[in-house]
Amino acid sequence: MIKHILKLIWSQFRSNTWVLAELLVVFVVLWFMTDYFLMQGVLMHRPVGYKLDNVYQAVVSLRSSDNPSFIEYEEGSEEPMRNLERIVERIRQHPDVEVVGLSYYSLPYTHSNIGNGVWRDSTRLNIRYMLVSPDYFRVFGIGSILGGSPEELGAKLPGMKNTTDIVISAGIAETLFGRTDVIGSELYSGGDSVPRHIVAVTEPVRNDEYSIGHRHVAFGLFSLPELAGEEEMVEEDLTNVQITFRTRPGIASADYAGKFLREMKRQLMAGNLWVSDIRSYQKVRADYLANSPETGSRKLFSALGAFFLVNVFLAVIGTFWFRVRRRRSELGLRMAVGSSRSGIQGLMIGEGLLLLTLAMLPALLVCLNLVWMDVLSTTVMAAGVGRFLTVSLLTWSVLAFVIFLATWYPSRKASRLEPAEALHYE
Amino acid sequence: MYKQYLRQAWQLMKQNRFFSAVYIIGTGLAISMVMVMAVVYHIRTANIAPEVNRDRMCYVTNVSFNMNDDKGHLNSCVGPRFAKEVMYNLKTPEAVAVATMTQMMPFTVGDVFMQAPGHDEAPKVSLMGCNDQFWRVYAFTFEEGKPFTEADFQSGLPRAVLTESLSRKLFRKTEVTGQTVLINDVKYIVSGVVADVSGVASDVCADVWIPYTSMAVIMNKMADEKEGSANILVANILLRDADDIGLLKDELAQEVKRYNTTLTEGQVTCNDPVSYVDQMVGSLLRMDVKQTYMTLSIVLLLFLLVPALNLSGLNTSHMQDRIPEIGVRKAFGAPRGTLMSQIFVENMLLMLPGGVAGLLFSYVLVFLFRNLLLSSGVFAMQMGTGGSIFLSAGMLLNWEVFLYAFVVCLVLNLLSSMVPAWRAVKVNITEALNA
Repeated sequence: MIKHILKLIWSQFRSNTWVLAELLVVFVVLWFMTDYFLMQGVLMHRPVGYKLDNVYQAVVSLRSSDNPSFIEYEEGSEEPMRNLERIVERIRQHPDVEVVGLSYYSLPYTHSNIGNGVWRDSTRLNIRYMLVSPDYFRVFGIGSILGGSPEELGAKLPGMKNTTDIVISAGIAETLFGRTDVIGSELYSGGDSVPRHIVAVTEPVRNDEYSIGHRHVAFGLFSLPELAGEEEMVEEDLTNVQITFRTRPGIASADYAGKFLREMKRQLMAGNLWVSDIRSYQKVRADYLANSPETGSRKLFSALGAFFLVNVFLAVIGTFWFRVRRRRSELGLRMAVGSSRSGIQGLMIGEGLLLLTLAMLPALLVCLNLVWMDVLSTTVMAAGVGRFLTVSLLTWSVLAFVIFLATWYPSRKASRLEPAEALHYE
Repeated sequence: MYKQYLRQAWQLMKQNRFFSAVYIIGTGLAISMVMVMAVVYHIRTANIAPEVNRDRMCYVTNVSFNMNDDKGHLNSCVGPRFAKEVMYNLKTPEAVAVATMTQMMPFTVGDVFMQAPGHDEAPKVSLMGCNDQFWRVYAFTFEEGKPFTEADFQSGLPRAVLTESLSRKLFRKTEVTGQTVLINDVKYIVSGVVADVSGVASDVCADVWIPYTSMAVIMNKMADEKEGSANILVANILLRDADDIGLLKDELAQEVKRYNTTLTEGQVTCNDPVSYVDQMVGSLLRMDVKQTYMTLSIVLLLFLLVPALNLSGLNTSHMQDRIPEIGVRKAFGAPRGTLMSQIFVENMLLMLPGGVAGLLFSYVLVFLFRNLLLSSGVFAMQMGTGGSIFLSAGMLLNWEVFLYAFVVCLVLNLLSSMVPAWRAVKVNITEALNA
């Protein structure tokens, strides 16, 4: 059967060249798009680690100094810090609130973060350093990889200074040790001269679905007085302290954040600090993802992919339409000598699929060469044989489906020909 | 003669409805994709109000302050002191508009809320600090009042220009000149109301504009060497002539050199002025200008190549059907040139409806993908200015865009019909007549 179709294709090579050329170009383009989508899919399905249901963020703002009700504090006054603590305490005492977490440049789905480095032997790893309060783990439902609860994890957080402990994410353990049961092992952090002992390994965490590098995280204990002393914080910097809280289950409603803010607005003002916004963290995530460049390029690539597929569809349907007309006599003869209608239809569809397969061979050579030239991104996965074959098979299937659709109608028309009428043309 | 061709082509179109439909959809699709690129390019680079001088604009954005003895450096944008002592001294430009950089606002100023005294509405707004020349460089449509003056700017008076929709939101009317508004609880007086600005004009897009000299966050740093030099402003420079950019570069270098002699804590470097188009193209894919052009050309080529192959295939099939007809024409003495031009005209006739449909479809695509295609970048979208991108008829309907569309039709036609036509015309007369 295949040999027979090959002969047919060869005998009409002229009218097939254009379709073949187009299939070749489109195959190469779609191959890379398929790879892109596959890698995005793999990346997005890796765990992010943060549980966001019932989680809200309270955004703290500072009154500007030209505001009439601005209070001028003396330099070095602890009052601004107390004001922040007052706001946190008032949120904590709200009956709906289960737990409040504090952090400093350490929230998921944000662009701001603190970088650091860890060493093991001679391997250096760039990591994200998160300063969080013990309850942060309860807010986001992060436990230790060995099944420990968020509370236990929080109790192990090392302070910012004078400690030889370190809490790391599963990502660091996997990259540096190749396993996650590494409690008690040693690591060097930043410019340390004495090693640190790993006291806990958290579940895998990442900044967001698209992030690759940010799964390497070390956690430290957030303490406002200590941080204020270290960083010479001014009142303005207090707005960088992030307040997140989890409400009790069953409370959430569509506009809970807005309701909470309206109810608490007066109470959540202290000195020059005030809570300007309460955001549902699900929404923070949705906004972050919707506006991330990856989502944009995915939309763009989808549109481009659709464009190329429709072009293939039109090319194939047009070519086969004319082919059926021109080969009426041949098809009539086939029927006369006993081809069934479905046999005729199968012949035409098979011809389309075989054309695709013929175009695929040189196209794969092109792809292979491009892969050789390191055009492929290897940030998610190394470019191996498995990936190459999967992507090739997927690309073939997608195009095969489109070609099947495109040949179906002309081939049905061919199979519906009346043999007598078709032979008439002979 | 051509009338005859047209009539014949029309008959052929009617006879082969299926072919015509596929052909028209095919061209329409190809043209729509190329046209999306053309329309986006047009909207992004043509002079569109209020950015009416894009062809003469250039930018100084990045200023670095390098502290003495290698104590580190601060990479940021233009600072108020740098603006005053360097940018305003330049002689080459016609005018220098200095404004706050939208991307930096959330990090330094934070959320901005506005309220009209006696009204409940307190919306979060997008604020831009700017100087008085800003109003000269950009052509805003004032519905009410005037921009703030040079004197207002120099003395840092609290004056504000609002957009029409913000004014409606705050006051439920637009006749509000002279009224007081609260911006983060600080009193400002409305000096004018302008028509809303589309997010397409990313240099100027905001809800409210105030003199940046009235913003404590910026002016507190005026005396500071480090943060006075590198802060959150950008200088949008209007040149007398687009070719002056070289002159400006030299003058700027001179001025920076002189400015550095007044500093004791460190030295300042800034980027050379970048023209509007280079700035836009460079920020498009976050690659350098050359690479971006390269990528865009490959995409453009694919957009034309794939449909051209597609249409060539259709034409080849169609031509094979018509070889007998061509044989008859040749037997009666038609030269090849005549036959070729006839086929060209026929295809053009098929292509034009496709072109019109494609152009319309491209408008739909641009509208649907406007946030992705027209916003100034990731940060702009994050701050919600992406949502305010609206398109006016003037941006979409103009002869430049139509010309692009026609040229694309022509190129596509030449690419897709000439090879099959040539092959059909070349067939020997006797063979053709026998076919």
